[in-house]
Amino acid sequence: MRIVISNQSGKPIYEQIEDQVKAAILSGQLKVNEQLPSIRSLARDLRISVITTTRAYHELEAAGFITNVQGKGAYVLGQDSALVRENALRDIEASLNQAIDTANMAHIAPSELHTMLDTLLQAEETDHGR
Amino acid sequence: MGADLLTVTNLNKQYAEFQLADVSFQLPAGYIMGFIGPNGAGKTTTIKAILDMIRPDTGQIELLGQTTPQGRESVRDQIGIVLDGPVYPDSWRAETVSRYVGPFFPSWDPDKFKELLQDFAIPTKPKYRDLSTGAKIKLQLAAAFAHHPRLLILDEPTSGLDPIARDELIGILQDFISDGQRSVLISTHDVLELAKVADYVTYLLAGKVTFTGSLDELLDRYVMIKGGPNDLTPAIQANIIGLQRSVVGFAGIWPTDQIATLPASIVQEPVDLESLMIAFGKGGRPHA
Amino acid sequence: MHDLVKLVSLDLSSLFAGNSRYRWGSMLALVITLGLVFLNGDLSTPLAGGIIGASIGILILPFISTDRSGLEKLYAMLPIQRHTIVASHYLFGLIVTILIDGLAMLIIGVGTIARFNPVRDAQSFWGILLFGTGLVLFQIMLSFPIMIFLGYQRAPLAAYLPVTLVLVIVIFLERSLNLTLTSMRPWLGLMAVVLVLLFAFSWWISTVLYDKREF
Repeated sequence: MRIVISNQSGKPIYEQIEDQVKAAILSGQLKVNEQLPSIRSLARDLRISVITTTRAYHELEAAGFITNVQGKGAYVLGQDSALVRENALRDIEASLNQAIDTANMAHIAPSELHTMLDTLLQAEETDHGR
Repeated sequence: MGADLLTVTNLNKQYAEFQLADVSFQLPAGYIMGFIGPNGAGKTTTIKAILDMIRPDTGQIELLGQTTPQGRESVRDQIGIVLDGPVYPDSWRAETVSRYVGPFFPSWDPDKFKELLQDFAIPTKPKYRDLSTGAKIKLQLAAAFAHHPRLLILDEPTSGLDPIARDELIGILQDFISDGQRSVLISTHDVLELAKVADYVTYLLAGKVTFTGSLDELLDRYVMIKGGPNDLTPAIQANIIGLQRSVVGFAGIWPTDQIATLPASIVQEPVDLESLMIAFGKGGRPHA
Repeated sequence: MHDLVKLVSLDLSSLFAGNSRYRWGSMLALVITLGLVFLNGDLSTPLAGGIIGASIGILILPFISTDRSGLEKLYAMLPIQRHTIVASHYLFGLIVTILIDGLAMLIIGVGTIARFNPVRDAQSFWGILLFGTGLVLFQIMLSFPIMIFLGYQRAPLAAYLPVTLVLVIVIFLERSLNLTLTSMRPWLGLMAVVLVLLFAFSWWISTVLYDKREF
């Protein structure tokens, strides 16, 4: 598993960990039921505080990506869990709302937004060679 | 999270020109607490009170479950201590420490001590007075670890260390707490290293606790704000902490829960520990 | 109890920590003294007295050796009680008393086999022993509380003031009251009891003072 922290990015470290673990899980790099490094060993390896890794893991658990088993460690949850889907939808809605707000501020018509979305989705499809 | 290894409650100590006032904080097992603040803030005084080198006027100190001076003195064999300044007789050599100090600790591990002397590259031939400042501190560290303590109390251990040694120390401290049962109280004004790995901080300013709690929480409470000269309204000027002004603008620290009162033109950034300490050091009022 | 032994050995180690010049110098002084006494037994009493006086300097060694500047901080890192630290100093003092007595007896002993004027008089033997023991114990009980209270830096003053005072008083008393060992004999028992009580009191005071000290 690859986790790289940037001190310059301005994003809180726990969020960076969260994002990278999520990405690894969603891309399949981290398999279901795979055990994550312990909170303390991760803190040691990344040279950050234990409280930061604890927070990252708690957030990941709240978002439904992992489960913390008392006394054993953290394990990757299957991604068909309802909680994950719910969170994903919520994130998408927030991003879309933000796009809509930006469009309104710049006086960009909804039809143009729709076109943009379709173009982007097509580009994704060709990228992944589906 | 286990029990607290150290609890200080309402510590008060009056000196002629300085007063420690109502100092309180707790250190749970398995974490690193940075004890921060400018010189003269009272960090060493507090540590001395914890080690019963001085007697506080009022207040309670619970150290590894012990609440009396005799109890705390007896439990020192589970505490690894590094103090500022020279502590061993000038004529001692590195291994003299093992010979004369070791016997006082039931859990003294002479092999571990020798191993640490090598790991820290402490020269064994010179007398204590001829060692460099860094080597003197590393010798104390070796002795502190050699009796397998549960709690480390370090007073300004990084002041004589070069960056490589400081970095090594951080790693060693992280290894130390990795079992979740042991803790570190490290007093320092070298904030850069600490800011990365400290779980908790207690921030002392002029004898008072300005903040105590998780480092994340402290950093969440404030934002760094920047703006142009025209953005500096009297309202902002009244409430801003650590104001820095120049021809092209200003910067300072602002409480997060009052962000709503700021105009959109003000740039907001997450704050880092060093900037926070500099800002408060300039005489900002501590925000409750 | 074990801590006491370890602390006493810490104090004792200060005897050997100093400049080797002093050690060789003292050895030389002792050898010369013994040589002189061997030659003339009459010198044994005055020289023994002199050596005793000089040896009192040993008492101060654990307190003033510049090695010990940070030692109070070291004590703060050890799991020992303050009253044990005080006890170790007094125990060290008693050991030094025995050492000095041994030295005095050695000198007198050499005096008995002296070439000229060998010592025949058992009186001087006991006299010196009593003088030595009394003086050293007196020095301990007067100066230790002061040294313990004032700390290592200001110890020299605490060390030499009391003994000078005591010597002055003793010499004055001896001259004015014409004391000899035989004349003092009936009082010796009482003096011993008073000495022990004063010693115990000094120990107690030191413990109380040291408990209050702040580093």
